[in-house]
Amino acid sequence: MAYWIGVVIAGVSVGGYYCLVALGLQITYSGTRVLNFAQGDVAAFGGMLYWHLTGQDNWNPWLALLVVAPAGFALGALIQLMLRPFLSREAAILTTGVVTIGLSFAIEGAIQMVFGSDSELGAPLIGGGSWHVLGAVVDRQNVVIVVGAALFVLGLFLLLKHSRLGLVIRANAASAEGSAIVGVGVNRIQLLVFAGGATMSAVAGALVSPLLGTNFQSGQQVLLISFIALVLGGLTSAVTTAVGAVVLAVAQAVLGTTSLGTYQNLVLFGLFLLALLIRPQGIATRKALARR
Amino acid sequence: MPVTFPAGRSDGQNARTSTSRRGFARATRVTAAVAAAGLVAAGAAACGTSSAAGGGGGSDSVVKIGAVYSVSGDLAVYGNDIIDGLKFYATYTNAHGGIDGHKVEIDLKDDQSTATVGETVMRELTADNSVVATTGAELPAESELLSRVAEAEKIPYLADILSLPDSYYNALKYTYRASCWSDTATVKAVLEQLKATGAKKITVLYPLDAGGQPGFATAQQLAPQLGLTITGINYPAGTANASVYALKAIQAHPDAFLAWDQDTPTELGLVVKDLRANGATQPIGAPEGASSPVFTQATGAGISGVYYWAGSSPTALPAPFVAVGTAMTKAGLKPDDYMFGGYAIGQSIGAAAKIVFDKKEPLTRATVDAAMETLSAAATIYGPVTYTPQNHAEPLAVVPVFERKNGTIVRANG
Repeated sequence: MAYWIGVVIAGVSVGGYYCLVALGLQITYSGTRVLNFAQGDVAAFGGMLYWHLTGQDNWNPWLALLVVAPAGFALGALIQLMLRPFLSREAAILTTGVVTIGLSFAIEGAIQMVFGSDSELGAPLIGGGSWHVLGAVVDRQNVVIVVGAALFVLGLFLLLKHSRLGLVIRANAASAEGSAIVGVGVNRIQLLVFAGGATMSAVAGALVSPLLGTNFQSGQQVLLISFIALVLGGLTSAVTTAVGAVVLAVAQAVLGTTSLGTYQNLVLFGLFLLALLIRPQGIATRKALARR
Repeated sequence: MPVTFPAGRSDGQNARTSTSRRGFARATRVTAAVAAAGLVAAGAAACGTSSAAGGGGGSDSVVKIGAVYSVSGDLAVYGNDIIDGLKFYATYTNAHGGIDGHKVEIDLKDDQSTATVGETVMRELTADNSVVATTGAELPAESELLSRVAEAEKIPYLADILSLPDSYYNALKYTYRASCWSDTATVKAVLEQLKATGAKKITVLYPLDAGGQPGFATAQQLAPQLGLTITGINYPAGTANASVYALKAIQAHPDAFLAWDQDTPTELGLVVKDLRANGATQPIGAPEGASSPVFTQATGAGISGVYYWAGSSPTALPAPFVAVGTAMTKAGLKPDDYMFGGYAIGQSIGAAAKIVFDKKEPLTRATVDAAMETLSAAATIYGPVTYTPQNHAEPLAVVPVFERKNGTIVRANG
């Protein structure tokens, strides 16, 4: 039993990481209609910056996190500014998608140039060590990731549902034109959304760095899984995206215990394609989809 | 005479412990970084395209070796260590009088971890008539491209033995192979060490890539002669959740584990940490990278029962390399298998040049090629030497580095 608890906990904690990156993708898409293929690289950037501050310069991990978050915000804002000329063009979703693919390559190259090629570990946020839960060993950083992701999701929910800024963001997501007519600064809101999504990814990368290590390429795997979660959520359902990310991570972990573990990506993507064939609009509820 | 190392990297990477050249699977996993290298071409160029070690002198008095390795890009993690060793060979040799008084010079070209760039810079090297021999490439595809240039330009080219398959290699005239590191020797040594702890059933934990799979296959091949039972737990390379596979390995209840070919000391350390954190008390062989401080950072302090390659300790090296290893350490390098591989490549070509000088022939590509043909084992490189926590007093393997082109395999352990 302890074995399976350990497997599920490992899955859930990685799921917290996937969840934050996937939600970053989701709010970015909802708010700007841009599929940001550089989202995973922002997570890698956050992880490497966090490692540099804590592992190299011996910063306090909490202080480092306070630097990583605005750095992710700034990187997201920069990406949005670079995308802005393409947003009003025809087939903008395709154009901006291609541009973000290019930016993904550029960010990876820049991370490698600045931080090097090796996998690196940031310092644990609440110290090393582990706890025992029902006989299973749980690394403290696992708990940090899960709690951190939960707090972020809660904060995002409260922001979007119970604040004036959230109302503006949702209005902009529903209709950018309508928002502009009533005086909302669409460009400013879109920049904020983009930067917010990037902040989530950067923080996710920092949180996972002490547990899994980070390198300049580590954003790719999380991007793939996050995209699956995003598409399963019909691109716009935050709840389905978040739950989907965690479920996918647990499925990955459980698959790892079987002989199919070697082919986990094949199995996951196969199931993903099957799910889309059956339900092309994603698996979000009608109610959620109606909110689009 | 104190030896300095003038051409070391300035980015602090000298201290990096090389891990696994088999990690080149990473390059195939992700072509994106290669493309990124193009986007950051300016930076890549700044990383160095050409440098010389060992001083100059006229072309008549210099043994100029052209080298094509990865200074930038994903393979730089391996290339830079090989380059360090190669440069150090030149520095060290020149500081000790050169080759019969002739200085050694390395003309280094960065292939940016891209085979086609490697081919281009190889052509640049061969266009320089003062270059008498070449070496380079971490990947088979690039080695083949470089060998084609070498064959066309009739210049000796020393590749890594793992980079050129027999079927291709045997048809070549100017291309040679060097076995700078031996997976087989390493696997054998660590299995022997684990066996010495009383283990009979060993589970190998490895990523499913071009480095992990051959290592596991080697362990399986060696199992009958060592009287061991080998089982394997593999996982997709680059997986975010290797801890699950550690749990799975523990479920196999082996007498010992072999953590093989994780791409970096960090990943190796995380695997070992996961095994220990989940209650595995058995000995763990972790031969590649466990001597790195980064490994210890990943495992946390107090990890015990881990058997690893301590070849980076200069005093643990076979006699020919003790002085070199000590000098490397003094120069701020951390000797490792890649570094010694680079050193041995230089030494092999240098030995050919010495034959030419001793015969009082002019140093040309043709004479160097003829001399390389006569060499059988120009240099030796250390195999796995010392394991902890129980030291082997004797080197377990001293691997001949150089293979004659005529097909006689002289590589003893692999």
